[in-house]
Amino acid sequence: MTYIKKKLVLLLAVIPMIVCAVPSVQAEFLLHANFSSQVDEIFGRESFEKYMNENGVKTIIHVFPTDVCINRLKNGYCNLSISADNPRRDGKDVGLIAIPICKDPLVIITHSGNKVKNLSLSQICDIFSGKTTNWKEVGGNDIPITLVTPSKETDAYKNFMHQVMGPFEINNQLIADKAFNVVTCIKNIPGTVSFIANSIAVQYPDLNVVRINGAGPHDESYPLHQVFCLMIKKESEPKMKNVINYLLSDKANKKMNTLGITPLLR
Amino acid sequence: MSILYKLSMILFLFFTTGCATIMTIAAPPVYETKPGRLITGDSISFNYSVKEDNTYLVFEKQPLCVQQYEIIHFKRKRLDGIIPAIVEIPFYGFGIGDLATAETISIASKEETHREIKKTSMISICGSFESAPGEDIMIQFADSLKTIYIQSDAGGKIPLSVIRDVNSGLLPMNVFIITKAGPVYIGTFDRDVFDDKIQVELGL
Repeated sequence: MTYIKKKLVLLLAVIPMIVCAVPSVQAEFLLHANFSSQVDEIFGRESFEKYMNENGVKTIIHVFPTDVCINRLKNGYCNLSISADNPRRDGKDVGLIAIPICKDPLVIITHSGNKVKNLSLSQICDIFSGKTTNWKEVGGNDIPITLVTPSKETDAYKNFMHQVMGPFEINNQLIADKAFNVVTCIKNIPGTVSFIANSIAVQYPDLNVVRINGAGPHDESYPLHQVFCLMIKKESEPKMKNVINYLLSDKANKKMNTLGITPLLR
Repeated sequence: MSILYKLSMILFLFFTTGCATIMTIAAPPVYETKPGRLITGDSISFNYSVKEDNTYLVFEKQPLCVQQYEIIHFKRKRLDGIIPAIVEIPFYGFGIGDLATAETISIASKEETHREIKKTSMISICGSFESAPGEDIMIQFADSLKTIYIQSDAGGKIPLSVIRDVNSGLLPMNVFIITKAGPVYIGTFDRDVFDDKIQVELGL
C-alpha cells in the first residue's frame, strides 16, 4: 500500500508539470458567418469563402432563416450574420451592432406575356392582399392573378410586408422557398406575379419587371429597397473589425456593383 | 621488425599527418547565411480608436509597422581532408589533432560578407496611441442610412453638436475613417454609451 501511495503521489506531482510544460497554442481566428438564404443566392457562399480565404481569414458559412441567424449570433454560435432584415424593427437587436453595407431594389416581376408594365404602390397592395383578382382591373389581359410569394421567414417577404402591405396580410397562394423556384413559376405560369431582389431578377433577362409609379429599379425615386446589414455582437473580437473592413473594400464594392447592388459605404 | 620497415612507417606518418589541416587551408571558401535580428520597419497603416469625451468624439491612432528580419551572409574555409584524418587516428591518434586544427582554421576564417534585410508578412504595433488630427471621418446612421462626412480638428476631435445639427435622435451611429484603401470601421455608438447630458446635447 505504501508503495502504491508513493507511486500515486509521484504521478500527481508529475502530471501538472507535464501539463504546464506543454506550450499553449493560440487558436487561429475563424470566421463563422451565417447568411440568410437571399444573401446566399445573391452573393454566393463559395465566392464569399474564397474572398475571405484570399484575405487570410479562415471562413465557415451556414445558411439559415434570418431569425435563426440573429439568435445564433446572440448565443455565440457564429460571429457574423448577413441578412436584409432589420432587427431593430422588432427590437431584436439588443447586444448587436448593425452595419448597413448595400442596398438592392425589391422588384415586382410578372410573366413575360403580361402587358402591365407599371403599377402604383396601392395597386400592388391590392393585388397581393387579394382585393384585385384579375389583371384586366389594372389594365392587363383578362387573366386571373396568381400570387407566388417567398416563404414568410425570408427577408424579401418581411421587407415587402413592411414597405408595401402595411396592416394587410398577403393572400398567399403559391409559396416558393427559393428565388429560383419563384422565377420558375413566373416564367412558366401565365398571370403570375411575385417580388424578388433585383440582383437576382437581373440574372433572368426574360422576366417582366414592373415599374412602380413610373420609376424603374435604378431610378432615384424607386420606392422599394432592401438594405443588407452586417451584424456582429457589441463585444466582438478585435479581428472582426478586419473582417468588416475587407467587406467594405473597393474590391468588395466592385463586386456589389457587378451584381447591380448599390454600396452604401464608399 | 626490420629497420627498413620502421623507417617506412615513420616516413608514412610524417607525410600523412596534417592532411586535413593543409587541405582545409587550401580549400575554397563556402558561402553561408544565418538569421539575424528582427527589425521593425516603416509604418504602413494605423490602428484607429474612437471614444466619447463629454461633448466630443475623440479619435486616436496607433502606428502599425511591417516586421523585417536580417539575413547575415558570411564565408569561411571549407573543412576538407576528413577521411585522411580518420585514417591517421589509429596511428597514435594524430588524426584527432589534425581534425581539431582543421576545424579551428575553418572557424577562424569566418568572415561576414554582407547583411540583407527582408520583409515578413507580419504587422506589429510600433508605437502608442496618439491623437488623429485631419482624418476624414464618415458617420453612418444605421436607421436612416444617412451618412455625413467630417474632418477631425487639430486635436483629433469632432464636436457632437455637428451630429445634432444634421440628425437628431438617430442613434446608433457607425463611425468609419476614410483611408486610401477604403472606409475603415472603428466603432458604433448607441444610446447606452452617452449619458443624459450628452443625449440632451444630441437632441435625443
